[in-house]
Amino acid sequence: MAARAVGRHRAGLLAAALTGVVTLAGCDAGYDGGGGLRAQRVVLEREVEGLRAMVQRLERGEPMLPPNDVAVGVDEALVRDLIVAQLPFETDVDRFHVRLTGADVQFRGSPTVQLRGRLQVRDQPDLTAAVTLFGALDDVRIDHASSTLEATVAADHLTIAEVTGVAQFLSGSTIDEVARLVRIEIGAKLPTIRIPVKVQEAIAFPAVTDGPVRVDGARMPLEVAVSQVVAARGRLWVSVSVTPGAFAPLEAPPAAGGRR
Amino acid sequence: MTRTRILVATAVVMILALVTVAGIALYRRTLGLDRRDRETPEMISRQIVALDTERAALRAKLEDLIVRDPRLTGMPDTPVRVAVPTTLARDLVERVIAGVADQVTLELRNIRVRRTGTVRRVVTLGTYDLTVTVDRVLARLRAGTPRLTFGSNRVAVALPLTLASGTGRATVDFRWDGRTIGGAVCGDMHITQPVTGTVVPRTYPLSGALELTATDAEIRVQPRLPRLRVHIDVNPAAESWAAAQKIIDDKRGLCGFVLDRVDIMGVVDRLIERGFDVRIPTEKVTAMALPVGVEPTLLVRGEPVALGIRVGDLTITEHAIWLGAHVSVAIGDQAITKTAPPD
Repeated sequence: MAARAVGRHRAGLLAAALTGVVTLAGCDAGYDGGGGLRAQRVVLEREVEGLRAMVQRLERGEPMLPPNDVAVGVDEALVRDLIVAQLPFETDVDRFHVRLTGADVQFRGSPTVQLRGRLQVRDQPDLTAAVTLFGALDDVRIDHASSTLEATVAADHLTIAEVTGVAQFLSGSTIDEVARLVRIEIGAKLPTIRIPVKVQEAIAFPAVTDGPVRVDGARMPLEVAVSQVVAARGRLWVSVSVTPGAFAPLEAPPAAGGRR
Repeated sequence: MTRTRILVATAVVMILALVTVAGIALYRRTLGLDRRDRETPEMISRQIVALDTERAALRAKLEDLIVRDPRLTGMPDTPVRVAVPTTLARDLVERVIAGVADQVTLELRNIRVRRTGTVRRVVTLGTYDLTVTVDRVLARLRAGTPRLTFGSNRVAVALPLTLASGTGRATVDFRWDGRTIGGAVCGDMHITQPVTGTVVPRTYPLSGALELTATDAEIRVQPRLPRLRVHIDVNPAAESWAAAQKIIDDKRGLCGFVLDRVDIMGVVDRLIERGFDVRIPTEKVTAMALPVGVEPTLLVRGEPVALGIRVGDLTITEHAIWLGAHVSVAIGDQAITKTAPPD
């Protein structure tokens, strides 16, 4: 009985020692807790980079957007609503389950997006943490199937905070590493953000066939592409180049019943 | 504890210590915790302060520069705004007018002129029935370069419209029923002969307006053009005319008097000379939409969701046609209305 108690005592000591070793291994007083600061820096870098490019262009006397392109401006509040409409977003990354429920959008130099939610260890539901994903709208493009503008959220950084359970004893570096893993995995899974602006790829005219004047149906194709994206003063500006093609007759509809 | 046991225990502890040290080294290396370039929070904080200062300066500069952009004049204060440059609108409208006009065909069919009568010379020599049928006149329109003037919510448009090319074909059908009252008379006769020709080109000035309106989804350009009546003249082809004349001449002889009285080619000539008036149904020219607008439905989590859209007035400036829209997103019972101001 006494021997068993001593054994249990030794095992407990060994476990405590191992936990301490693992924790200390990742612990580094000089570097701990840098995740939040890095996130802040990433957002600032993006914004400053965007502002620099825009100021340089305007200082050269160039317009904010190409003068012959269609300009589409969307407020950050609307984009936030559009993103929130797609939430909650839930996905599994490795051993973790991530649920994003809130969003903030800022268009000040760069189109930054913050998505907030919680992370949970799947097989230990009491281990949870708050996550914030810092990113930006990226690759703004025209979806040719729906003829609408859409964008991807590029995930730049992810922070983990308010850790619960035994995970709160993990070092900042370890948590940063988990954050990096989650950020990389989640980045590819985030939903596409659709912007309610349609861009037609043709102008078509129906045929007029009654009476002595006949107008053949015709279609003018338009080559459309996003040429530039600027985030400034709370708005996302998307510049769309439109290049008209040659008019071509509309194809006659197939005969009823498919008979020739 | 025997000496052997002590040795084994020491060896185990030493192995464990070695494994632990190696594990720690591997762990720190994997996480990059011992990188020489690894930044301390203080370093990052200093960078943040520098970036923050630069951002403040750039924002101030941008505020100053952006208000000078003349293209932003007239921009509506709505969550969604679309600016179509007047240069692009002009290009599209010009191309569309020219493109549509080039697709216009005027086609006339089966226009008939019939003349019947009796030819007398003391006594009735016979009766005739002359029908000239314009089987088909086909003409094509071509638009010249339109002149557009932007102002208010209308665009004045003026362009030359040319009846560019075309052909015509008519059939002359002459029947003579001669009375045989003894002596030399002109017996029954039937002449059928086609006459062809080409449409005489003629240009008409057309001026009107393009009315710009904003719908819930787009900027529409509705043409407001006056009624246009074009006159088609057909120039008969010399060979065709000569061939018809020859057929008639071949029938002369005893029938010369009759043919002179009826003057078949004179009837055809007068019909052609009168020409044909055709009204162009300008009211049927459909509205076109500028190719960028607000999409009223969005796919959210795979489901189409109707957006609340309230379009503001159109603003036309020297540089752009502005469309502004208030858009609200409503998912289920949770209508997010912050983007749409109250009515």
